Parts: sequence; structure tokens; C-alpha cells
Amino acid sequence: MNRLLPLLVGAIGVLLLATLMLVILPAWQMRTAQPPEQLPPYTGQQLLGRQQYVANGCVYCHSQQPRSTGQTLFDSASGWGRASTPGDYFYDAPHLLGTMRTGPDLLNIGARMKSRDWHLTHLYQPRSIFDWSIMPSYPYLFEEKDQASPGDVVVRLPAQFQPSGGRVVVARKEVLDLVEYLLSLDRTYPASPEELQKRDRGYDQRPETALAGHAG
Amino acid sequence: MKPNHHATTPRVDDIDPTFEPWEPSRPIPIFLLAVLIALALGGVGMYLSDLAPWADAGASDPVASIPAAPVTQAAPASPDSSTVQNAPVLVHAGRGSVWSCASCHGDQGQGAGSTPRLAGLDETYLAKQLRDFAAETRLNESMHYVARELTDQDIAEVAAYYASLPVPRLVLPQSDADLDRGRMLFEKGDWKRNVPACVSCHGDQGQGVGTSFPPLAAQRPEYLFNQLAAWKGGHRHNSPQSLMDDIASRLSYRDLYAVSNYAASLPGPGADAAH
Repeated sequence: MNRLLPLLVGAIGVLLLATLMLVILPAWQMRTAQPPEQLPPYTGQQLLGRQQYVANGCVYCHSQQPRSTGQTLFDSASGWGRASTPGDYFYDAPHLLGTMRTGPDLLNIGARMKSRDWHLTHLYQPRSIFDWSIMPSYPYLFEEKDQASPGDVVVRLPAQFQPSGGRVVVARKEVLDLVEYLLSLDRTYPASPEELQKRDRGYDQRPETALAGHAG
Repeated sequence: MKPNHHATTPRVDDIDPTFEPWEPSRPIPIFLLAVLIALALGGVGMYLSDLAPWADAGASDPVASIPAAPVTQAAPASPDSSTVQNAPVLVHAGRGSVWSCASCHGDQGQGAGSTPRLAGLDETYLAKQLRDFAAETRLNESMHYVARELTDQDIAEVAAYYASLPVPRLVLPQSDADLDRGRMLFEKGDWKRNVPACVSCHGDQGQGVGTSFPPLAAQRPEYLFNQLAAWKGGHRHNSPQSLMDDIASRLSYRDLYAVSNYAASLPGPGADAAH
């Protein structure tokens, strides 16, 4: 361990091995993956909204990976949707899987909360709906005006959260884009058996076993 | 380091300062190396088959032909123009701080995900739920936000409107729920656990009975499971005589999941005979 060249060669070799096993081979393995037919690519506005999601750090508290019923029924009972498959993230670059659930999973938020106005109220001030919420508010995504202009989207708020003096809160383009992105988060279409095969075996049965048990 | 043949002891300035002369040389046993390499190759070999590219489609897949859950593809019935025109303002436009009902519950009251279908539910039942939301006897922050702003007249109008809507066909999500077990629970119950059949109160087709027993057929399965779990966990407690509290507490979550998905798959009343 006291000869520099073999040491460096060994270290670089380990790093190359890790890169090979963790990056190159998985990418090669997925090279023929096709997106699910029912999954449309993001529109331009949704992509801008996705950038807002990243910029505001939503991924630090919200995951986008519902767990399978093989592992727990909790995610299903919360209405978060079916377990995700690799194809669901086909257009997600970078992926926003997240690791924390300070707040609920959002992969299917567009399937269960389709109200743009609800999202605007909630983003402006989460405590206007959930008084126990610790989610930050995002007032800078909105602006206060003395009165709304034509075409402005006015945010619905309870009286105690309205600005004083009859002013209204109007959504800026950033939050409208963000809400468009949230509404596009819907991966409830059925996953094909090929996609289900790609899921981690740790908790899930192989699709043929799982389905065979319930064949009518 | 070449030994100096002409000296009996090594001279200080010939010694490599990094060489420890007393360190015995210990080559790694060949056997140990062989074992390590064999293990590494064996490990790689175990996962070699995973490196095959995913072949999409082509091969006949016996699994693909078995539907995981009945998926009814809805061609959503466009609402009668008269029902839209006669709808209370709250339903499609909201008012003040209150979002429109349709923004979450759908233009035809069909619901979305864990947001329930309202179309075709009983008027008195809907009104009771709205009052319970307002009083927080039933807990849901978003519905409390809405219901606390509603007058009695608002509640009556909105409930009557949704009761008058036709029951839409739902697009159901995929699930791996045991529908056989769900059907058994739905039609016969589980008397080993003192659980009556759902049909005994909710109607033989799950269509709902009277004002207290809402329809289960063609209701969002995520919503049904969510509510059954809420009863089981004690979060929801506005069931008359604690009927649903007791029933849900006697079933496992797996059973609740099964019966929710089975009930949701049943067609609502008046479903097209052609399908």
C-alpha cells in the first residue's frame, strides 16, 4: 500500500467498475425501453412547471414513487395510485422520485386533485386549508393587485388570508405553469406486464404469479 | 533495490526510505485469490440473464390476456345541456373562497382518483355529509373549507343537483386486489368475523338504499378503500350507530382493499345494456 502507481490504478479501477455496474450496464439494459403508450410527453408549459417544481425544492418533501401493494397497502389507501414502473418516468429528466414524505406522494396528484383553483389556494398558503400544515407558503409565485385585469387568474382565499383593502391575489405565470405540471401527473393507466417485470423483486411477485392467484 | 555485493551491511544512503526491512513478505495465497475470483464470476453469472435487452411485445404473453381488474373504458356521457344550465352556480363556478364542486369532482360528478363520484348519490345522504363536513363530524380539511361557507339553501341545491345526475361509467385503475375475495365479502360477508354482506345494507347490486346507505357500485375504488381505512383507523366516525366503524374494524386491510375494488367494478344502475 505504499506504491503510488498501483494504488492509483487500483482506485481508478474500482471507480470504473462502479461506473460500469451502476451506470453503463443499467443504461445498456434499458436501451430498448419504450414509453408506455398511454403516457404523453410533457407539453412546453408542463415542462416549465416542472422546472418550477425543481427550483422550489418540492422534491425535498414530496416523493413521486408510490409503493406497491406487495409492500404495503398504505400508499393505496391514501389514494396515491399504483406502484410506479420505469416507463412512468420515461420523460422525467431529471427524475424527481424524491426520498422524503413530509408531504404526500405526488406522482398521481393530477389524477386525484384536478382542481387548478385548489392548487393555487394551497400553494399560496397551505395553512388556509390545512391549519396543521408545515409546508412553506409560496407568496412570491403570486402578486397582489388592487383589482384583477381581464385574463388574470384570481386566487380563491378565505377572508383571513385575503390581503387587506380589497386587494386580490393573482397567479403569476410561474405558478400557473407549476399547476399545469402538477395536473399532468397522472400515472394511473394500467402498467403492462413487461413494465411490471422491471419492478424490484424484493416486494412484488412476478406478474404471472400475482395474477394467476386471482384468475377467475 | 539491488543488493550491494561489496558490503557486508547495507549502507544507509542505499536504503529506500519507504522500505520496511523487517516486514515479512506475505503473498496472498493463490487459493484465496482463486476463491475470490470464482465468487466474483459466480456473482456476475447470476445476473447475466438480467442484461438481456427488454424485448417489447412480439412474444405471446399469457399474462397479458388476463385482466388484472375489470377496466371499463368509459365514453363519458356528455352532460345533458339542461342539467349543466340548471346547475347551481357553485357547481361549475364556485363562489368567493370556495372552489367549484366540478373542479375536483368532475364535470359530470364522476369523481377522480380518491375524490368520490357524487353523481347519482342520494340527496339526503349528500346533504348530511356536507353538514358533517362543516361541523367537522366528518374530517376532511378541503371539504370543511368548502362546507363551512355553504348556507342551508346551498347544501339543498347542490345535493339535489348531484342526486339528479346520471351515474357515469368509471374508468377503473389497475389493481391486484383479490376480486374473488372481494365478491365473497360483498355478497356473503364473513360471518367468522361478524361481518355482514355489503349487499344486506347497500343493495343487491350495491346501488345504495334509501338515504343512509350510499351506492358502492361505480364508486371510485380508491375512495372506497380510503374511507374503509378511515373507519377502521377511527378517522371517520359519522356512520349511524357506528355500523361502518365496527364492520371495517373487523376486516383486514387486504380484505378492505379487495372489497373496495370489487364493489367499484360493479356497474351503476342504468348502465348501458350494450356493454
